[in-house]
Formats: sequence, C-alpha cells, structure tokens
Amino acid sequence: MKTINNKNKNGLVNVFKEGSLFNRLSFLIMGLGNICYGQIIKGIMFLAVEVMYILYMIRSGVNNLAGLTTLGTKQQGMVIDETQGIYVMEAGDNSMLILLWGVVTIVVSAVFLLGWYLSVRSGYEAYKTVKSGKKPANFFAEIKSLANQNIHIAFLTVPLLGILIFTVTPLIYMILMAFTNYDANHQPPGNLFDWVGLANFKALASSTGALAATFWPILAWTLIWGFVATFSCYFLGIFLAILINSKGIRFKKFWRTIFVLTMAIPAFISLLVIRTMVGENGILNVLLQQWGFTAQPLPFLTNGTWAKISVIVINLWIGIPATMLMTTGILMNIPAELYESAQIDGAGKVKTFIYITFPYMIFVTTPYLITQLIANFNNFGVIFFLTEGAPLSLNYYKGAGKTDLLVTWLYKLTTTNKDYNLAATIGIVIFVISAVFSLISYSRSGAVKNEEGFS
Amino acid sequence: MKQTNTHLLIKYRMPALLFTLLCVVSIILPYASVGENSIRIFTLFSLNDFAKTMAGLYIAGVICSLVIKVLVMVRPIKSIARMALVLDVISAGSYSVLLFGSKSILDKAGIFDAGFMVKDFGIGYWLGLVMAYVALTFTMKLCKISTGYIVLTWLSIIWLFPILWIVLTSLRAESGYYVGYFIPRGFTLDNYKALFSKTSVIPFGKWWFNTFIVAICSCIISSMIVLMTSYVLSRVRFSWRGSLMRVMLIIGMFPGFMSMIAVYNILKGAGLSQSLGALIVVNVAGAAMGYYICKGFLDTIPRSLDEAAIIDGATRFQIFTRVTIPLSKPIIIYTVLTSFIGPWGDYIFPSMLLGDKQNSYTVAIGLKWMTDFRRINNYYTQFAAGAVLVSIPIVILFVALQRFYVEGLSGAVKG
Amino acid sequence: MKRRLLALALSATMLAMVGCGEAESNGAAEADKATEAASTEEVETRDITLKVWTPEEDMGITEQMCQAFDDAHDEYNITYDISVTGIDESAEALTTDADAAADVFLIPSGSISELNDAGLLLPIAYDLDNVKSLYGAGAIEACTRDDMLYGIPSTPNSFFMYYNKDLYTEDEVKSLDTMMAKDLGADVANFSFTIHNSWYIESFFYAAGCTLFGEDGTDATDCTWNTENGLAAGNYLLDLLANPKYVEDQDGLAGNLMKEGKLAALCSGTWASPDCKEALGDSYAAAPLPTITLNGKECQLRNFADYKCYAVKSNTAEPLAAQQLAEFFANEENQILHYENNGQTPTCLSLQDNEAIKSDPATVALIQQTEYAVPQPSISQIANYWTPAEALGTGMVNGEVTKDNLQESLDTMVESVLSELAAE
Repeated sequence: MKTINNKNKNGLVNVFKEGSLFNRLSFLIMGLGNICYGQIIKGIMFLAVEVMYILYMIRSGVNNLAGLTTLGTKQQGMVIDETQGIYVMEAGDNSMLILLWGVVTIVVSAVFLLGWYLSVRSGYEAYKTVKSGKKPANFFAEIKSLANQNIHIAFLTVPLLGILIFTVTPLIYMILMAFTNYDANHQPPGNLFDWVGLANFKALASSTGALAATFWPILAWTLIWGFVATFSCYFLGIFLAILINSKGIRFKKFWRTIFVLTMAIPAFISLLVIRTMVGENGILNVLLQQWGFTAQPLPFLTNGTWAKISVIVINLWIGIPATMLMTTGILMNIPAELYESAQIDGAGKVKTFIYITFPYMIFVTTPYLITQLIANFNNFGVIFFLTEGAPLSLNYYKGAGKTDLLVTWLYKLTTTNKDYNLAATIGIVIFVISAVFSLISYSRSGAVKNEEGFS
Repeated sequence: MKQTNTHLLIKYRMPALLFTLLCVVSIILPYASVGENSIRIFTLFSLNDFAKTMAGLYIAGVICSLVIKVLVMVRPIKSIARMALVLDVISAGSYSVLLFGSKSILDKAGIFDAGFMVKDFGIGYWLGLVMAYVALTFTMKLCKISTGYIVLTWLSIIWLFPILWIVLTSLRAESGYYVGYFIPRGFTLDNYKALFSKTSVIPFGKWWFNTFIVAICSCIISSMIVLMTSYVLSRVRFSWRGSLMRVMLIIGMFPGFMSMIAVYNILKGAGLSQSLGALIVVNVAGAAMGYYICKGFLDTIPRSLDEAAIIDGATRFQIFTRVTIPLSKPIIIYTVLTSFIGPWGDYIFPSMLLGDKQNSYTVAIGLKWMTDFRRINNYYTQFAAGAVLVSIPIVILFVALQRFYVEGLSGAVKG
Repeated sequence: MKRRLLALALSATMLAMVGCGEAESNGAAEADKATEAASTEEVETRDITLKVWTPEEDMGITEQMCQAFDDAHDEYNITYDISVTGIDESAEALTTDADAAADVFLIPSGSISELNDAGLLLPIAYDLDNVKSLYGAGAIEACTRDDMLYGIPSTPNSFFMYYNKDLYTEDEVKSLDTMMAKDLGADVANFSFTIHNSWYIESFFYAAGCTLFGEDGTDATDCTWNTENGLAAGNYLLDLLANPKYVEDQDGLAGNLMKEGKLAALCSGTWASPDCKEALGDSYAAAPLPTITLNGKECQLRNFADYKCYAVKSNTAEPLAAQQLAEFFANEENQILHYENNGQTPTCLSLQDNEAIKSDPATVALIQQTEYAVPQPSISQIANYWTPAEALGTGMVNGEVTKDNLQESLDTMVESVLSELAAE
C-alpha cells in the first residue's frame, strides 16, 4: 500500500510558505481553506470544532489549566449557621478534582491541536487540487472513502477515543500524582495537596528507611515470581499438551476438557476456594492430618517461605491448562516430516523434544511468553485473592506483606494507607520495568519481524 | 524393534515379570512399624472390611499377575497380557488407596498406641507401592498402551479435587466453613434455594442477571472493537500504524486500578457513575489494546484473498465483512469467549464503581462479600452454590467452543 | 395530612425497589406534634431527601426508625433513600465519592480521625448539650475530636468473653491462668482469642501496663510495648500459643468449635451473642475479659474502647435534618429497639437500669468490660499502629516471632508504629 500522504510536502511551515492567503488564514480560522476551495461542509465542521473548543476553554478550560499550577488554594472550612445554630460546610477547592480536570483539559487541547493540524493540511490539499485544475473531493466522496482507503479512520476512531478517555487521561493523571504530596495527611476535600517535585522518587530510592526496606525486597520477589510463575506454567503446560497429544492416548478431548474446566471457572472463584482449602483448618490440612501425612497443620499461606511456594504452585493449577490449550494447537502445526525424519534417524522422545518440538515452540511463542511475563509481574488477582500479600512483615512499611507484588502493594497503599503519591511513584516504576522488557522483546521477536512476510 | 508381534512389545515382558515378583516379595516385608511394634500386611485382614478388601486386592492382584506374566513368557498373547494389566491396575490402585487410608484403619483398630503416621510405613509398603507402579508401567508398555495414562489420571485427580470440593460443599447440608471431612454428611439443595429466596440478604438472581447483561454487552461491543482494530492494523498500512501499535502495547502496561479513582470521576462527570452502563463502558473502552492475539490471527489469512477482492471492485469495508469475518470464526469465538468471561470474575473495579447500589452489583462482589472473614462461616456453603452457578454457563460455553478457542489462539500465536 | 413518597431502595432482603407507597398519617402524628418543640406552631413543610446507610442486620429497624422520624417532624416531608452499607464499608465508600454518599451512616468511632482529617464529617451542633448529657462520658469522648462531636454513640463496639458455665464457674473465669489450668477433657479446648488481630492483641499489652501514644492516647512519640512489661506480655502470648488447649480464632473457627462443644470460652463482641446463645443453650454465659498473671501480679486484660456511632457527612444538603436524624437513631427509644432487634448494648445512661438489659449476660459483661477498657487513641498516628501490630500477632501465631527474637520484634514494631509518615 502506498501511504496516502506525503509527509514532507505537507509540513505546516510548507503550508504557510506555499499555501494561499486562505490557507494562511486557516491557521487562525479553521476550515477557511476548505470552505474557499469548495469543501464547504467539511470546512464548516472544522469551524464548528474550533468554536466549540473556544467556548469550552472560556467556560471552564482556562480555569482548569490555571488550577493545575496551584492545585487549589481555598481550604474547606466549617462555619456556624446562626439561624439554625449548627455548623455548615463551606466548600473549598478539591485538589484531586482540580488535577483531574486540568488533565482532561490538556487532553482535550491535544485532540484539538490534532484537529487544527489536520484542518490546515486539509485546506492546503484542497488548494493544491484546485490549483492543478481538478475539483476537490466533495463531502460525500470523503464519507465514502471511509469505507475504503480511509477505513482505518472509520474503524479506529471509537476504539481510540475509548482508550484516550479511559486509559490515557487517567494515566497522565496518575503520573502527575507522583509529583504531589497526595498522601494520608493531605486528603481532599478537607485538605489541599500540592506539587512536591521529585520528593517521592527520592524517598523511594534512598537506601535507608522502611520504605526502601520494603521496596527492594518486594521488587525482588516480583521479579522472582514473574519468572518462576511464567516459566513453570509454560514448561509444564507444554509437557501436558505433549502428553495429551501423544500417539497412544485416546479420548484426547476428554482429557483436555478436564483441565479446561479449571480455566472456565472464573479465576477469583477458584482462588478464593483454594484459599479456603489450604487455610490452617482448611480441608487440605484436615485431610493431610487424617491421612497421617503430617501431625500439625501446614502453614501453606501463613509462613512467608511456604506462602511464596504455595502461590507459585497454586498458580500452576490455573496456568498450566491455559498453556496446554495454546500449545495444543501449535503442536499440531509442527510439520510432521520433521518428526518422521527424526524417527528415521533413531531419535528418542527426549531428543525429539529437545531438537524439534522445543525450538519450534520457543520460536513461535516468544511473544506469548513475554506478554505472560509482564502479566505475571502485574498478576494482581492471584496474590490479592490468595493471600492479600500476607503474611505481614514487621520489617516492611506498614501493610506490606511477604507475598506482596509491587502491584498489590500499590493497591494497599491507595486503599488502606491512602498514600496515593507513593502508589503513583511505584506505578511508574512498574511501568518502566514492563515497558523495557516488552519493548526489547517486541522489537526482537520473530513474530513482529515476520509480520510483513504475509503481506 | 525386532522382537515384535502384532499386539505386544514382548521385550517388556521380562521387566514386567521381575517387578511383579518384587511386589510379591514385598508382601512378606514389614508393612508398618512404630517404635518396636511392627506389622505385616496380613494384619490388615483382621481389622475391618475395607482394610480386608484393599489388602486382599493387592495380594491377590500381584500374585495372579505374577502367574499370568509367567504365562505370557511362554505364550505372548494379547488377551492374557491384558489380564495382567487389569491386575496391575488393581494392585497399584489398592496400594495407593491404602496410602491415604492406613492411618484411619490402624488408628481405629488401635494397633499403635502412639498413632500411625505415613512416615511409619515400612519397607514392605514402600517397595510394594513403587514396584506396583513400575510393574504397571512395563505391563502397559508390553500391551502397547501409553504410560501417559498413569500421569494423566493422577493429574486429573489433582485438578478435579478443588472443583469436586466446591460442588460437594454447595450440596452440603451442614453449614460452616471448617468441616473435618470431605464428603458431606447430608446432601441438600437448600444452599441454592437460599440464594434465590426472598429472605436472603443477597439478591443473587438479580446479580447473576446483572452480570449476564454486562457480560453480553461487553463481549459484543469489545469483540467488534477488537476485530475492527486488528483488521486495520493487520491489513491497512498508514503512516502512524507502527507507532500506534507500540503506544498501545506500552500504555496497556500501566496498572489499571491505579487510575480507578480518575476513571470513576470521569464517569461521574459523564453522569454514568454507579450504573451497569458505566461498567460496560469501562470494560469496552480498553478493548482495543487487546488487539495482539486477534491481529496475529488475521495476519495468517492470505493477503491474496484481499487483493483478489479488490480487483473485483470490493471496498475495504466489504472485504472486512465478506472475506475476513467469515474466515475468522475461531478468533471471533476466542475473543467473544474471553470478553464474556471477564465480567464474571471482575471484582475490584465493580466494587468501587457501584458503591452502595446493591441492585446493580455483579456476582463477583456478592461472592467476595460472602467470603469476608466475619461471614464465611455462615455463608461458605452458599458461596459454594453461588460459585457453581457462576461457573456453569462459562463451563458449558468453554467446553462447547473449546475447538475454536484452540484454533484461534494457536493460529494467532503462530503469527 | 402529609403525602409522602417513600423510596425504599432496598428492603432487608434488598431485592429491588420495594415500591413507591403513599403512606398517610394524621392522628398519631398530630398528637406527637405537641411534644416537638419546633412544631408547636404551624410550620412550613419542606420536601427533602435523606440518604441513609445501614448494616444489613439493621435494615428492618432502620426503615421503622426513619418512618418514626418523619412522623415526628412535620417541618420535613422526607424522601428516604436507604441502602445497605456495612459499618466497615461506609468510610471507604464515603472517601470514594462523598457526593453519592449517605447523609447519615454508622461508623466505628475509631475511624472518625481519618474521615475528619479528610474533611468528610460534619460536627454535631444541634441540641448539643442535651445530646452530651444522654450518653456516658467515655462514649462522648470517643466521638469527640478537638472539642467537636462528630458522631452519636449507638453501642460499645468492643469484645468480652463468652463461656460455657457448665465447664467454668463464675470465679474461674476471672483469671485466664485458672481457666487454662483446668482439665476439661482431651477434646475440649479451654480458651480462644484472636492474637493475630491488632484490634485484640493490645489487651495483653495494656494489661501489662504498656502504653500506646501516651497515657491519654495523644502522644505520637510514645509506645512502650518494647519495655520489660511489653516483653512479659509478649512471652505470655507465646506461652499461650504454645499451649495445646488454646485455639487461635480464625474465620469463625472458635464459634464452630463451641457449637460442637469442643471449646469452653471465646472472646468476641455482642455481634456473636446470637450464635453463642444458640451454641451453648442453657450453659450460655458471658463475662468481662479475665486477668492474667504477669511477674506475679494479677493484671486485667484491657482492650480498646470503641463505639459504633451515627455520623453525618460534611457536604450534606440538609445539615440540620441529617443531624436530627442521627441523634434520633441513637436516642433512648431507638436504642431499646436496637437492643430488641439484635441484642445491641445501649449507650444511653438512662437505659443502664432497664430490667431487661440488666439481666442480659452479654450486655452486663460488655458494660463491665467497658469500664476496664482504654479509649482507643484518636490521633492520626493510630493509622500506623494497625498493621505493625497485626504483623507482630501474625508472626507470633505462625512461629516467626519466638522468645529468642521477641525483644527485637517488639523493637521493630514500636519503630514502625512511631515512624513518621513518609514523603512529608
């Protein structure tokens, strides 16, 4: 496919230099270019966008942006209502909402800027078309193009708007929170919070204090958990898939269904159930004692080391079937000739696996492995529903426990401790770790490189 | 490979015989001992019926198996070998049962004053157990039956154990969280009835229905979004495509609930807070970021089909509806299935978003509510019943559509 | 005649909108009017909406009380919006969205500090002197911050001991050591407690004479749990845990054991009284927490004094009516209603001589225990107490805190309790 637009020739500077007077004016009055060169409806729509944006900015946008600089100045107070003899609240500024609406205004402005850029360019295109003696595309033709060469605009607008509003906006909000003192002592609406620069990052990075004593061990456990959970499920899942798919096994669908059952049950239910089962007085401990395997109940989730092993093992129960199902399909795709030639060479099962199945598998599933790894770093569900981070540790900053991952700790910081600023800071750290991992692997993975192969 | 007849791998008959012989030898070795006190397996015969049956099955199993295997040495016939196989399964099975049952048998009979523990099993038992399995393995090889069955059977038991537990609990007549037994003493459907009764604190029917609505709406809309996004990313080359894919990959990595309060306030600003609509909007809004698997699948559909359609004068939209969609059944089903399941298990966000609006709660909130430490003792059986009710529709869908799920996923990952 | 639209969002069964009913009342309300100071003359009736949060077990009586409040106040024509939100959930829900929150709700007095710091509570001022005179000083104290009253105490929120009077005599339950020493048979455990809960564990340290945030609970730099006294209390707890006749309560385990007759005594609050009554039948009895022997001295177990109280959110549209309703919920008449409904111990001074209440073992035990109790510290530093204390208790229960590292653990715990909040 040819790219539709030729970038260099359409730069804004170029438009200003080469374009007509109307094009230049359209830098100020959006859509003027289009209106003058025959694309009246399109031009009016651009103009309408501009008018709406200006109205928005006058009504609230400017205020929102101004609020960002101070995050509010007027504290909420109580005043006595003389006539009734009671206190009534005198509303103050809510720093949290000021921050949020400020971010929303920034996003709206960014979207508007994009529209402005497009309008200027579109006016220039129309001008060029007219200059070359043709008629610019009319409105209906442009609408039609949405079903064809411009289908990406038609198809992506709604999904991207969704992401912009419900992911990107909150994301910016969260990032900004890391630079404030929005903690337990500065809770809106009663109190204001303010910008503090990099203080939170410094507190986290400093090698002393309970905060650092919590952060590093939790980070280490998050990494260990991520790798162990991912690879254990991966290899055992492959093993199970190979087992079920091996020649001698009959009723393959039956066996597969047994394991698929665990996938079909919503994870939080199975996790809550298993949590009750492995409790100090849960059925597993009861049975182990009745069977004579142990005299005392085993501290599956109450002892730090036990709990770490337990969550990894329990995660297998959930994770193996998923890998099994995925690899089942891939195993069937491995060219049969490979196996046949291996058999002729007299290779045994183990050798076949090491030299044929495994390399193929790794090659094909690297992207999956990476997504899994990231997902496990952020595996909120398993830890939250199984242990809630417990057992707590005396050495950790309030509330953090020995099985807490960075994400679950972050959740605790917001819900129980109300230290939103710290949580946001940690959120950024998690993000940086995940982004580095995935960007490296994303650009290296065979699947991405080969994408064009099908084109 | 040389020594084959049509039905048996006779090179294995010797080891199968030898290990069964070891089983027979193990019978006379000590079965269990606590301190000075030691017993043989024959002691089990004098205890209760269950012990008698299990011990009897084992002893008879290994001895008969030995005899038959000697016969196989002489005449390698499939039907005879199969008999040995059945006997080996019986002996391995009965000894496995005794691994779990010995304590209750021996303690009830008061054989050992100090009580019996698994570690007190003697050499006779362990040798017998291990050899029974080894012999079974060789007999299976002899009969050309995959030994994978042994592993699969054990794994299935482990995997089904929690599921069985929850189903049994949901049918248990005695309430309470802690019970010292696996099989309920009484069976009842009251736990299910209680969930739907008028006097129940939990309007489970209403919540189930809410979840269902949310699941249906989210799965339809987000499947459309995912499909459209993936199609564009897979088929259309536009200037900002690469950066868009990378950006979506990255922002998908932020821990979502960090910004929950922001999402809540945005929804509130839009007048949507505390409603099922809000839940659907949120479920759907981020759907496009899950384009990865679906795009991988679409990449595998040959481009030549598109090109042929273009030559025939089809627009891209027509290609999408008439060529791509019909060819993407597995991945569509995969996407629908995953997005349908989501709302059933989603707890954190709904519980915050819906606040005190109990009549728009979803099942996840209700079930979590029941497992609160102050309530779990009273509600555990009802919780189990609720869990079963939530799982049933998904299990049915999953089992029925498993094939497509596998095809969609594997097609996509193959990318 | 008043015309009302009662929007009862959820009934006790919470199924759906119960419906919009037109309730009429004239005669009775007319008669009550005279007693209401505000309504002796002809008053203008105002249409207002009040939202109320109530725990599920109070749903029925909350509707009843709301109705009665409306009947008593001719100046309002109230549309109620009542929904179920547990006492422990209201604080969280209020923080999330104060606009959508209820005007009147029930919270533990311990959470007043946190909510007040966030500016979410309205100080009670209507009829203040009268209100203060209705309840005990301790209860009022617990709901007061900086000389402002933020909640109307409804019931003591505290725990005491239930026991089987066939197994223990009234004298024996006075001392934990006597109780533990008694042989009740092989299958029966003697005593159960919740050491891993930071709301329970403090009773042993208070018994030993340790302080948390100073004598009066306002000194953010004081916590003496790591002193010699604290060490003694810690050792006592470790010995208790090592005793096979002790059961650590978890997820309702103790209640279950009691039902099966395998436990002689457990510690819990009035909320457990229906279950305990059912479990013990005729042998049901209650007592204040026992004493323990530390360094040869008898020390009474002393827990936190906390109250469940009705509070009003700061941004309510109807500050006056909401306060009146909160006060109404906790008045003498409605405390009797609460008591009859689920045995909730009243806080009204005037009810202490009520015959029915005086003869209820749980209530008597709770009132006695309240006398031993220590006011739960109200400074915001208390937020730093909960998890380190829980971590200490958990560590003791699962064997990570032992006699060897007890001193060290207590030091760490005190350090975290006293630590400054991060990133100031």
